[in-house]
Amino acid sequence: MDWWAIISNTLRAGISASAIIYALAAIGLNLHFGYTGLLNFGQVGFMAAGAYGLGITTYTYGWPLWAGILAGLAAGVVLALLLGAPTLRLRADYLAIVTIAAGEIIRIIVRAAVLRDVTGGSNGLNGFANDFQEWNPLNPSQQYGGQLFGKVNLEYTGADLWELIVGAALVALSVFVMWLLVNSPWGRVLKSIREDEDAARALGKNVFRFKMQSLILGGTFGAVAGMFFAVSNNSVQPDNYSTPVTFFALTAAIMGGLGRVLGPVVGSAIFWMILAFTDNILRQSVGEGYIPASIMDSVQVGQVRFMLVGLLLVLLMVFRPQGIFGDKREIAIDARK
Amino acid sequence: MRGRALSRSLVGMLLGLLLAIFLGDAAAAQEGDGAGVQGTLTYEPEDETATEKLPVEGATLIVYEAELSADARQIVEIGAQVGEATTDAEGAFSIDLPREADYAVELQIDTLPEGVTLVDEDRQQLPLRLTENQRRNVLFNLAEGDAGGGGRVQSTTFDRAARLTVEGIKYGLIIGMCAVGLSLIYGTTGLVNFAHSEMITLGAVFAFFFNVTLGIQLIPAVVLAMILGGVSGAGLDAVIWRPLRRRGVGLVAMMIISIGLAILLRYCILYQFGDRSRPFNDYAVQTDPLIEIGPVALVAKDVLIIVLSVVVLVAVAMGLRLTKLGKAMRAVSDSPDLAASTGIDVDRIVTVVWFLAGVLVTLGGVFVALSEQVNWLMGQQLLLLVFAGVTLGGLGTDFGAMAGSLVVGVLVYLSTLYLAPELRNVGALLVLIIILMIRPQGLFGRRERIG
Repeated sequence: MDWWAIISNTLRAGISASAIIYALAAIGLNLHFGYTGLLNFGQVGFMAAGAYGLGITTYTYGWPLWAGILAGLAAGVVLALLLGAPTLRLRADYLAIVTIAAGEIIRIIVRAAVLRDVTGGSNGLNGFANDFQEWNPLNPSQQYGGQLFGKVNLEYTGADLWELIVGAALVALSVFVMWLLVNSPWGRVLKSIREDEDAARALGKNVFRFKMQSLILGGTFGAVAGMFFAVSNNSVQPDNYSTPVTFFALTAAIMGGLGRVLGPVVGSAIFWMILAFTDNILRQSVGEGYIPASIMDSVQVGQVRFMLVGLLLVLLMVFRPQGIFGDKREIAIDARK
Repeated sequence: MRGRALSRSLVGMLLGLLLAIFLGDAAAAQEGDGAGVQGTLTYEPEDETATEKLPVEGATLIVYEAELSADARQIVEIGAQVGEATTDAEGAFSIDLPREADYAVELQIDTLPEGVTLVDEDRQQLPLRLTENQRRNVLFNLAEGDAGGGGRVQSTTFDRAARLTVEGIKYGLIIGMCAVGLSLIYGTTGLVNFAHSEMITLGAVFAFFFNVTLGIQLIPAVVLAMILGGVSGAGLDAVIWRPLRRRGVGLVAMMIISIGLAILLRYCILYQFGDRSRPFNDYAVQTDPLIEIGPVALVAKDVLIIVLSVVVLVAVAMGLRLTKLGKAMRAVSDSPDLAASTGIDVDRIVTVVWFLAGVLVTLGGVFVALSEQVNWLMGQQLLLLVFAGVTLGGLGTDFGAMAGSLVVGVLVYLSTLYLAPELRNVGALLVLIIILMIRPQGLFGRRERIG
């Protein structure tokens, strides 16, 4: 087995575009669920709103990238208002079902052939974010970085590095905003809603308004995640925005620790490192014949990864719902209503 | 000690799953003679005394790549041409197709012999979904002059609505079959079970295993699958959910656990079954209608699905009201504590509920697979509609779940009168959202159920 390759690939997965996308989405989920107790199972809908808001304005209508980014943010806010206005008064499990349905509705609509002229149908939109690499101060084709200990490959092309730098900056900014928010009086109201909605209401807080603000902000993080996804791939594909994405982001958030500012970021990095690690180990074992092809072939390796995600979510929720950093008293999952 | 019992049961579950994985590829594919489409074009002569159909020679058929609706019954969009053939003296044609995909087969009407026409003009293009290396038959209904079954059928909106309503009722009954279990589980334990989708798929896969892998005829195979489905339902409860309930795990946590379980099971099924859709060995292709009422034509398996679903659902509803066990289930639904204090063994009732849910869901999954095919994602594709049906009727009620599902099924199909078929689920999901907003207890639920 080539252990150095496994270590390199695992490390690279921890600081990849995927890890950044899921970190941003999970930060939003953390604000919703970890701090406010809102069970949003449709975060992928916010990601799609951001991505398609950006894609449609830039590709279909030919506006510049910055206008697309504004449109993507606006789409996330509008979705939160549309979704939150009628549903925030519902209890947790109903909210979960409504948000999951909303996410699915968005996916079905954007991939519909009747909207092909606007959304690209099932092909999605491609090649609208060339400006992003135009803004790149680095040389896109040059290799940066090098070999750690001469063995661990941490080389990136200028194009990839620029993507990671922007992504990391977005994550850092989001974490900073979250830190400011949750340590403000506003954040304390959110936590009080999570702990006991009626008590917060009795203290004269407009619970609905705070929940709505939380939904909008968390949804905006989701929209940013979707936009980063779209820009880094230079495309939006409708089937990248299906329901399981929310659950993977939720797994990452729970693993890092709900109700902790850094939890989702660490969780997402570890989530992708675990996936890459098992993927590499299994792939090499299959390739070198340690695991016979009758038991597992290379296609099935990819499937084992997702079994692992499911198993991870079950085990985390049963044995360590607070994740790595969390505090068990600080999460809303024990709600018996 | 409880913690240890829990870890033991989780370890047991894992071992079981690993065992299932390493038992090898039980559902091995059956290879055919290369993918393609074939058929024979014949027509009924106008001459009333003629008994045999005559072959059509020299007619041209063209195959296009196409995008089909989820159930492969409607063509959404037609793409590039991939094949062409002309019928021989026997009227037969055969076209090889490059790969497993969705196609549309078009009959060039102007190449038909003089006087021969397509009976139903809407069916000049037929959808074709090739899964695995199979050769599928397509059938064009041709007639000379006005000979074919009462002449040309002009498809009016009314006819389409009638057909779609019947399709919708069938679909709604299938949804209902899956919804009752979900609703009963919610009623007795409070769990919103996201893994219900994988129980649907698993049921169909069990039936596939008995029917195709072991070669048992479909009807006994389904009976076996239902037993296995019921046992795995009760098993899931015994191994996972009961220990968690004892531990006092919150309902939101349990819901998230059920999501993890759903992902785990879904990919275990994919691992074993593969990502291709496959039909059962029996009753896969039925073209001759058994019943024709006006514009509505039902093949035997559709009739069977509808009749059996109604019988089973009515039996469940009656059982819940008339038998002692059923009354106990409803009592636990009302209040587990009160039920326990009257001497009802709540754990036993919950086990029975899970068994029943497993049985019903298996039958539902088999019905879906009969109308479409067995596929690893079939449950996930149905789950939100099942939720829609259950919430429309009122979580925790059995009649409500059935009625709600029926409404959802009909709505899904009728909405294709005005919407593109690919958008048909949108209407049902919107109804789900709207119902939750204006009447969260559902149409038949009681007010105290909302929180």
